[in-house]
Amino acid sequence: MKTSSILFLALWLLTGCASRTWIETTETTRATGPTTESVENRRLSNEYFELRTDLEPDGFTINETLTADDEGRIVIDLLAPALQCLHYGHDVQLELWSYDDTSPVYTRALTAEQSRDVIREISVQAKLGEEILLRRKSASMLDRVIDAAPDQELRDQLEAIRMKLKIRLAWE
Amino acid sequence: MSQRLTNLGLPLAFCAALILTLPACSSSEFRRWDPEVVVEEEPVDKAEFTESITAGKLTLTATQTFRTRETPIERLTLVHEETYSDMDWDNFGLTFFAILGGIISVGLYFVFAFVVFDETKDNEN
Repeated sequence: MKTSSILFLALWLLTGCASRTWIETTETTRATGPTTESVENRRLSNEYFELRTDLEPDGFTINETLTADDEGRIVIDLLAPALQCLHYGHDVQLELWSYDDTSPVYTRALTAEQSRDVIREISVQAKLGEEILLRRKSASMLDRVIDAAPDQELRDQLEAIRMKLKIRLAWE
Repeated sequence: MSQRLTNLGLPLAFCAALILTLPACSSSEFRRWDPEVVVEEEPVDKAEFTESITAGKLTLTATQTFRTRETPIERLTLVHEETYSDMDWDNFGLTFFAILGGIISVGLYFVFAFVVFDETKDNEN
């Protein structure tokens, strides 16, 4: 009887023991060396910016969220601002806003002459077969700019762009 | 004599089993200092943008100067180890029959070796 009890107990202990280990990180720290300070100029990678242009009387404005890539590069498509410039007949101010700042971190004016250069360069790409992406409101503005184009050369360039136009969806 | 050995041996064996199993069914805490580096970063001045226009696209490259302070530290880390009982009847049965199977296997070996294939019996015949 005693032997059976001990065997039973031993078996119980043998089968029932399990162990677990876990690590608890505390807030207690101690310094092990002196603080080193360095100043470096580096690229702002993977930062979010917002591009805004002038607000027109009819409520039109361009508002896009842009992301800097690993090399700190931000690519801004100038077609929509160029169309805004030509349609409303004034220089368009491009403002780049950082989410951390209360004022724009970068501003640049797009003149009518520069806008025509942009239209010309993009029309060349369109003629070569590249798809041109525009938001719906900028695409409808393109039609109005074509109708009001002061010369045939600009009209042809805008028509070439229109042939390759693809609507850029809201989530893109 | 045999009875005395049993009376003495069983409590001793029980104590030995307790001594061997008690530390296993407990918990312990181990303190460890892990090295790491605390990095504090603050911008020295505003972000700078270099621009280039190609094919109707304006490409800006954003750079900013940062002051970085690095302090090597050690952080206290507690490593907890706990042994607990999670016995269930499945495990119990498994262990019981594993041991039983082992005993039977050894027993069968001796049965076949010394009873069924008994060489001395063959030689006698």
